[in-house]
Formats: sequence, structure tokens, C-alpha cells
Amino acid sequence: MTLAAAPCFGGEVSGTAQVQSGPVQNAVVWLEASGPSVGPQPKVVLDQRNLAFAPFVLAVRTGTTVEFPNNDRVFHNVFSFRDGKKFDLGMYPTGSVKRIVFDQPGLARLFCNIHPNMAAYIMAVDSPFFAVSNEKGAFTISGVPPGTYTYHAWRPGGQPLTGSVSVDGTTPLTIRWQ
Amino acid sequence: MAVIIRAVIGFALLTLAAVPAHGQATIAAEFDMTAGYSGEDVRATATQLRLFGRAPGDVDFFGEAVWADRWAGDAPVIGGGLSGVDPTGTDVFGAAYPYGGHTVLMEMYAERYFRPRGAFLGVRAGRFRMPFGIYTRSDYGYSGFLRPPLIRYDGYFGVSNNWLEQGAMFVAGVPKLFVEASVSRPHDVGFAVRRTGTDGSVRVQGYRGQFVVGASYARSNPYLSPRFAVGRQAFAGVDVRWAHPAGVQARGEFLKGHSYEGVSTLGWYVDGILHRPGMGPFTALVRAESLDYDAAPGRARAGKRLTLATRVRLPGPVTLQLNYLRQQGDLPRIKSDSIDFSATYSFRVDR
Repeated sequence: MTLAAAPCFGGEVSGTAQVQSGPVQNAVVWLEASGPSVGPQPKVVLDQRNLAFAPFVLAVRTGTTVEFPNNDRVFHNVFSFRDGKKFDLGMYPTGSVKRIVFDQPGLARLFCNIHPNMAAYIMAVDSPFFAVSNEKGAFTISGVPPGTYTYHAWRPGGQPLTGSVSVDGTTPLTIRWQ
Repeated sequence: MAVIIRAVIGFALLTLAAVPAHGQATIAAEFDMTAGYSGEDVRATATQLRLFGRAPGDVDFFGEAVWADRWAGDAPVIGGGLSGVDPTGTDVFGAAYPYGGHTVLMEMYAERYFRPRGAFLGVRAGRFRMPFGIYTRSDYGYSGFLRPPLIRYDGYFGVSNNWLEQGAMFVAGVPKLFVEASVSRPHDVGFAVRRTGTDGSVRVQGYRGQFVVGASYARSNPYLSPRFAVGRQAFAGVDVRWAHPAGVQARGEFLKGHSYEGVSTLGWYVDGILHRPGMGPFTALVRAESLDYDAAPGRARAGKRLTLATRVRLPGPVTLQLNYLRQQGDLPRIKSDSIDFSATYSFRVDR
């Protein structure tokens, strides 16, 4: 990993996630923060449509309730057994919603026990400051007070990265997997 | 009646086309390849290609082409050659697709669903599986069982998973309670091919707590020869699913009806599914089932089966299925027990 520098523009940390071949979509970047809680996100959805999860990678704050609507005409059976939050929602039909509280930090690897090509990730972080990179590898973390933070980064198939970032509003944060 | 069918399909297509366009178009392709071997000395390979997604106007589409074949060894086939029955005399690997050795276009449809103020409305037009009982491709193609339930195979005097309908299907209700109904003509792809005519089906599904309960009724022409299979075939069924958060699930169907006038079929199956965190990639399954076909002496048949199975999701897109079954009765079969195995490789491309 290479850290170019640290940034902040009006309380935002912006940057890009990259591998050698180019930008990385669906990288999760978060800052360690032990400040006052802002509470979980109000409503977060991991959709099931066209025999796929959407989004493929979801980042939430610990304590957040994630909704799993089934918008396909077939049954789905979402489960996560390997690490992070472990659960099995069982089969449920079209138009129905099930919910899970992600009450502990960590990575949950989600599958459908009926459809082998369905997979997704939910990263629960114990911080209000996090973001997921877009198709250009870009991410923005808003509302970050000035200061120095330890950051963490993760992407599907990659090793977790850790570094330090000073939020001073000068240079974008570049996260690079070798 | 053909005019009515065409009118219904036309109405459904117009409904789909009339929807104002918004949202983003998507398309996905899935490819599955399976190889299997049965203790009945039967080998099989199968491939499936699916294209599906969302077109402009929030119209969902689905199309599937399959090729599958089976080769039986030198073991004697008991019951082979019966009308509508696979000439290999076995139903192994036939859970969701026909094994005829040629390319078959399976379900091909467009559909549109609406959610006005919490309601659930929809229309599907094209070729599809009849809404009767537990009927979707997913329920059988990926379950881990390598055979269909006895009440859902060609030539067993029940409702075959290889029966397709061409027409229109409508859904109305709310997510927790809705009605599905279809009007169509048969387009069967297995060995039991129903005579052409107007098919109709209706299914009601309710969902509450850990239970999903359905009740179905369907009518169509028989698949057997008109020389003796007179009248219409009609079946009624009840299907139940139950899922407990501890990773224990059950599902099953009960079916009663007749393949033609003067006979009757009574059958059921119950599947148990165990999938808990400590089991890693393994899912354990059990199926108990019964089929009783009542007809003239010498033609009546009955069978019972118990199947123990496991499905293993390997890292990457490979799934293994291992089944052990024990059966008794006089349905077409080669052996009274069998160990069946298959491996499936799947991948998907999204655009």
C-alpha cells in the first residue's frame, strides 16, 4: 500500500482506491474514530433483484439495521456463516423484507443458499466515517473533523490495509494495493 | 379458444409495452454445466444458458436454453417404454430439466410488476412454468436433490416439472397474500407431452411469520393417448414452506387429481433442509415422498421414496450434490436404492 498524503476539504476526505492495473471499485475505506456516536444509519437496503445482490459491497456503521427485500419472483435464502455477523434468513418470498442488525464490527460474506451465483459483502465498521469507492475508484468521507486518524481499507479479494491520514485539506488520499 | 389465448397474450404484451419507461436497463447471463453419475449406472451431462435482466420500462425478461442427456448402462430397465416415460426408465438428474439429448428453449418471458400503495400486481407473457404448487426452476434446479419429487416427473401421473405453458400469467394481491393465475397452451419439453388445448391454473399464496402456504388448481388435456385417456386432467394441491432462524427449513406439497377420467393420483413429498453455521459449506437434506396412482388392475402404480442428500458449496462457483435414495413400489426404476452424484460449475456475467 502507498499513502500519497492526507486531505480534507471542508471536513471531507476524498481520494481514490487503486491496484496496479487501475482504479478499484467497491473498496471500503473508514477512519478510526472514538468520538461521540451519531447513531446508526436510518435505513440501509441490500436488494435482491435479478438473482443478484445490490450493491455488491455495502458498508454500514455498527448497530445499523440492514433490510433485505426480495424483489425477485423466486424465493431467496440469504445467509452469512463465515465471519462477521452470522445469520440465516431462511426462504422468503417475493415482495417480502427481512432485517438484520449488524451489531458487531467485521466483514460478513453473504450468499443465497438457493442461487449459487449470488454473493455480496457487508462491512460493519465502528466509525461514522466511511465510504465505498465507485467505478472510478473514487470515495468521499464527509463530516470529518480536522485531525490525524488511522484509516483502514478493504476490498474483495485484497488484504486489509491500514495507515495514518492527517485531515488538513491539502492532498487527496490514495490507497493502493500492490 | 385459441383466439382467446392469443387475445390474452396480446393484452399482456400491450400491458408490458404501455408502461412508461424509467430506470436503467440491465442484462445478466448465467451458465451452468453439470456432470453426474448414478448408481443406477446412468451418466449425465447438462448445460444451461440463461439471459435475464430488466429492459427499459422496468420490464423484466428471462430466457433459458438447455441441453442435457443421459446414458444408461447395460442394466435392465424396469418399466421402460411406458407411455410418456423416459426410455432410460429412470428419473435421476431430471429434477428441473428434460434430458432428451437436444437443445431446448425453456422459459422465455417478459414480465412487469407494480407496487401501487403496497399492492402487488403483475403480468407475465411468454413461455413459463405453470403456477401450481412449488413450481419455479430455482426450487428444483438448485435444491440439492438430483431427482424430482415423484409427483413432479414425466409419466408418473402427476404434474411434471417439464411441462411448460405458453400464454399469460397474472398476479394480484399484496406480498403476504396474492393470487397467481395463468391461461395458456401447453409447450411441454419432456417425454410426457400433453395434447394441445387450453390450460388454466390458479394458485393462492399466503405468507405469515415462518410459514408460506399455497393452494393450487390446474386443468389441461392429458398427456396419454386419446384412445383411452379421455376427458381432461385436473389437479389440486397444497404446498407449505417453513423456515426457522436456527437454519432448519421444511417444504412440501400434497397433490390430488387425475391424469384423465377414471383414474386418480394421490401424492406428496416433504423436504427437510438443515443449514447451520457450524456446517460450513454443507447443507443436509432429506426427502420423504409417496405416490399412489389408482387405475384399472394391472395399470395402477404406487411408489415410496426416502432420499438423504447433501449439497456442498465449494470455494468458487462449484457445487457438489450427493444423494442416497431407497425406494419401493412399481414405478419405472432400475434399482431399489441408489447413490447419485453430480458436480455443477456456474458462472455469471453482468452488464
